[in-house]
Amino acid sequence: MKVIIIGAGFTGTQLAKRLISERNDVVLIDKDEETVRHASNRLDCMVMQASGNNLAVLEEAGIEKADFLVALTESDELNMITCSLVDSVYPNVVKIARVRNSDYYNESSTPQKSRKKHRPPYGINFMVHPDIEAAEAIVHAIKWDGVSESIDFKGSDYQIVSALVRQNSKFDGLALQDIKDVTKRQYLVVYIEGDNLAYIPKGSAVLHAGDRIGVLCKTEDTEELFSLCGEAKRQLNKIAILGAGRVGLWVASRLLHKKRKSFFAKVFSIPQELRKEYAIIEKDEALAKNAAMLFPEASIFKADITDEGFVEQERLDTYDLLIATTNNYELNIVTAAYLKSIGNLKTVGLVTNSQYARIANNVGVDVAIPTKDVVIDAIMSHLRGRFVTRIHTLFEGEIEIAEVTVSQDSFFNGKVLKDTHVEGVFLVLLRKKQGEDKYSIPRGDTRIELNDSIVVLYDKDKHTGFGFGERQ
Amino acid sequence: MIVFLLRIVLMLLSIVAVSMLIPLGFAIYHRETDTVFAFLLPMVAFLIPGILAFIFKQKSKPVFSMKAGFVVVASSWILACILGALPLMISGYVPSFFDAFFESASGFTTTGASILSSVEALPVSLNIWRAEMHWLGGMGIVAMTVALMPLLGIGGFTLIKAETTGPDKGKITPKIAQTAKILWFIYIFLTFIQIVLLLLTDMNFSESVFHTFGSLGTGGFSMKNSGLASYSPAAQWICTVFMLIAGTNFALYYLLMQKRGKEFLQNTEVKVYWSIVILATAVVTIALLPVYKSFSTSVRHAAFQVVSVLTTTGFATADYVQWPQLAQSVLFLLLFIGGCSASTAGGVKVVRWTVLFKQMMNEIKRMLHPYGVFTIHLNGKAGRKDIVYSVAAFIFLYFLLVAITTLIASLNGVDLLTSFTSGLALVGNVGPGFGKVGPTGNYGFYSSATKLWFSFAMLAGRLELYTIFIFLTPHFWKR
Repeated sequence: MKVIIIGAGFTGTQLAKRLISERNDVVLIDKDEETVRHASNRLDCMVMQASGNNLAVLEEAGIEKADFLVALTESDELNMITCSLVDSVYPNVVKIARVRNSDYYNESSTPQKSRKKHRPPYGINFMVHPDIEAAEAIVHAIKWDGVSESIDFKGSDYQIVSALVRQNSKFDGLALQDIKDVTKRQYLVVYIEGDNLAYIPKGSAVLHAGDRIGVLCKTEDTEELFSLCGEAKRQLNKIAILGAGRVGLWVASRLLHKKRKSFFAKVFSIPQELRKEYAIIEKDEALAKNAAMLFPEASIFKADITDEGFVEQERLDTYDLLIATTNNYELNIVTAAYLKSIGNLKTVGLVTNSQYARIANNVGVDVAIPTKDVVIDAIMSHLRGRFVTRIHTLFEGEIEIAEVTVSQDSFFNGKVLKDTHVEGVFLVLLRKKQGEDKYSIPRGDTRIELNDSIVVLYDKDKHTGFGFGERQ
Repeated sequence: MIVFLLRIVLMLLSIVAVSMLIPLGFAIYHRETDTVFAFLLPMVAFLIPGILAFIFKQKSKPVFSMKAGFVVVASSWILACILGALPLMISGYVPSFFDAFFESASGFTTTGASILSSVEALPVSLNIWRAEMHWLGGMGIVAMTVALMPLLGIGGFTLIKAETTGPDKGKITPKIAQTAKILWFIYIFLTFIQIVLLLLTDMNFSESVFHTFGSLGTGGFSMKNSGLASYSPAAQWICTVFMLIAGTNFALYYLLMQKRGKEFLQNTEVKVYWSIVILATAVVTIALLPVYKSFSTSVRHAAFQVVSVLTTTGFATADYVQWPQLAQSVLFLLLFIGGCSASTAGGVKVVRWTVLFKQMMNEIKRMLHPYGVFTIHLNGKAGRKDIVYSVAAFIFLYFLLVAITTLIASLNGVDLLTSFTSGLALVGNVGPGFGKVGPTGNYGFYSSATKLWFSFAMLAGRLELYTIFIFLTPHFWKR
């Protein structure tokens, strides 16, 4: 597979690294001499110093034989125009552009719906929105009674929730096959993260306090899962969002403007909603005013979070949850750690990448969202070919979870699960038969058929290559 | 330039003159020979220059400035009031010019304050003319001209802005002439419905037309000395409903026509307006129960009077000056509020009070949260930033005018309640006040000079102060 990446910034080089490790052909193009020098020293791929929006340059890079073009420069417009330009000459190349400005998205508008069968808008096959991806990751992490990193699957009640086994937990010292003895609900431990090492467990594996586990369960069962793990019960009523930039506003709109409920559901949720309090804290006056106009039901503060007077005045230590969404990732970590030290808050923060996420977790940030990794995941999902709808990676790419449609030449096509089973290498978590609309957990004697949708978790180092079918 | 403005004013007036055909028809039908001439003379006198202005077109169209817009609107309203006064004078029923001018200004500004002690003595055609002035003035004579005469198109928006009410003056369609047409269409449609409905009750044709003009224009002149008290409850309820309709923003009916009912329900002003009506009616009903003993009668009188005062109509089914103090106080406070913006109602307008209330709440929040950022939301959207300033300035000017009017009224030796409510009722275009100017009283006892000032106050109130007050500032007269 051949991929051309324009823009060798952090995301560009990380993406290149992932692709190279999977033995793909990568061409990196960047204008800046210094960036190019660094990239070519570190990466085993072709690196060109040129303008990526020049068709001659792209042809030199081999665009006619490329499968994918990924535009990752700092400018939305440059990314989009480059894709459009390539589309006009090489319509078969799959084009992916990073676009920050959500005004360019027209997913819900009628022209696109009516043109569904024709060319994609602007000739871009996939637009990747880093801020929305990050914001959605934050929203998924916020549960009714706490926060935890989690992975959701489209069209399913199931999710993978990350939880920490505490000292007083019922899980402490319990083998996985015995979990059904302590609870009636269905919990499937899909990975265990011990000391610097994550693995796919066998049924006989024993849990210990201090383990972080990934559990597949229904959304409504997460509350009980946390209490089983020894987490104290609480409700998140007072929520503070730090930063009213794109991510902050997106998170706020998802939290404040929930889906329309029926009249009765609305009435019954009034007492619950009344106790909820939202605050948005922003340093910049224009952004704060903008937030105040968008969210009249929230309290908007124009203040610097590092100003102790403000923290005391508004009693931020009494809040239940802090969501730090500023562009200053170090500030997010420090603020979260500081507020945690003075109050009893749960904290969610945006950080640069998964290395930072680990540091953030160590200083007490409950959930750290690695923004760059989230973007790379989103891009990788598109690069996996048309049978893969979504890729999630864990632990710096050690474990991948893929949402896949079973194709003719797929490894799984027509196989019974227990025949394919190799412990500790991969797990088929969920299956949806063609035409059904809900996922369910498959059993050992389940036969996977053509066009089924499955969710597979696999250890990237150990799996010796089961194909998902042809690439795009 | 002056010739250009004069042409526009003359064309405007000729339309008002043409509308005299309606009372003329009534005069001929009822064989009121003495008033036929009283209508024909001013009609012809104003039509001829209007037609001339129409025929002799100017070659070049000068740029139409904001200033010119104000001049045109103010002068056409004043001249329209003079035109409206002429039939009353010529027919001999209101011999004094000041009286007739007051009556006519009260008509066009939809105030409904009268100097006549016995309206029953007037011929039907004159009464219809009085009500028709309400009807024309309610939606606005300039708006009608813009709707009918496309050649005014150039400065149409400038003109209509100087005439419509409310702090935010928008267009509901891209072209102002189109907007004016739609609004007038809705207005005429409602007029038809109300006339038909009233005909089904105990009112005859001329009474139906009269009260329809009065309630949709939120005017308030009456044909009987006792107001609407002598008509059936059904007729009173119909008038109540149509006064409420007329006091609501007309642009919102366009939204309804466009099947955008959600935006109608989201409108903050309408929500507050309805809450005030319901709350005030409930309080007055409770206060009236001991008086009328019957619940239905109490509700009817309460709702009618509350709506009548709030929409600044000024119709009455009962002499509320005789009511219990609580009911009187509620009605007195309603004099301060007024209807919705872009309706035919006058007064301060509900939306302005809403803005100030929201600002007050924001100030309280600011005390508690010094770092907070607060904005004012109207209709589910963030309001303009400077809206509070413009509303505060308007309300200041409004009550300044009320204060001066009160002072001038008190020069006539009336009691404080009478003089203050005169000021409130005239500037707010309500009509009847309390004391000597209550529903059974009239403004006839004031001196001629006072009546002239009153006419000015009513005009200023109808045109939302600035259009008139602009002429009193030195800035206007500077080149």
